[in-house]
Amino acid sequence: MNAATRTRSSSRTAGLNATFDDERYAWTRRTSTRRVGVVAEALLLTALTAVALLAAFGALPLVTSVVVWTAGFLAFIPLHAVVNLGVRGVFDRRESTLDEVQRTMRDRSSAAVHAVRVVLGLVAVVGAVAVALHAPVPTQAYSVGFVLWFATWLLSTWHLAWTLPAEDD
Amino acid sequence: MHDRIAVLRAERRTSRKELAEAVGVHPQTIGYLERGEYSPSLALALRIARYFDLPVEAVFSLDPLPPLSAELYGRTVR
Repeated sequence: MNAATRTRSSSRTAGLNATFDDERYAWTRRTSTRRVGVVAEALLLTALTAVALLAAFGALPLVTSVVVWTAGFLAFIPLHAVVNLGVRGVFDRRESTLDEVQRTMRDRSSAAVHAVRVVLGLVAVVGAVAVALHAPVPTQAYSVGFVLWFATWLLSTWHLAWTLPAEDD
Repeated sequence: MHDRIAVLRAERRTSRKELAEAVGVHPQTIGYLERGEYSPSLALALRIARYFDLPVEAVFSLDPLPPLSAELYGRTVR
């Protein structure tokens, strides 16, 4: 890595850290906001799973499921931005930019959801295989597997957003 | 873990941000410590004690800390 690339990378990291500490986003760090964000994301992913299953078993036209999925994931982007700002992006930032409390809370959340993550990962695989074998539209197996795997990836962020102590004003 | 960080900060007129910058943590971390929501590592406890120029046992304790006035004058509230 040359000096110019290093400087660009370093300023990008600094910019990211500044965003997570920006007081304009203090509202995202309120316990109530974080919890509403977690519930909204969980409901959104549950709805997307249901849509994929309905499409797989022919109860919903494929075009409708594609439209709903596109809209769902477009809505997910700002929603997850709010949740991620609420936890100060501790899962996305460099280790060196976190202090010991942030590292401890991040690791605690990862450990707390580990078992659930393993089970949900298995459900994602089993669910996708089951849909592929038994559903009239087997291509929807990818959607079912993907959305459940996606949820496993979000579990630790949800746990942290739900359990993080309230911050000072 | 109990501590006197809030009392010492007030006495020294130090903000959370100033203390956090001096000991290398996020300002919210000082809040978590003051409210007893997080027990610091030994290294952080020592850095905070050094910032206040006090022995670590004067700032942190496993038992509830008595008011500083009671320690200074040996009197308790009646």
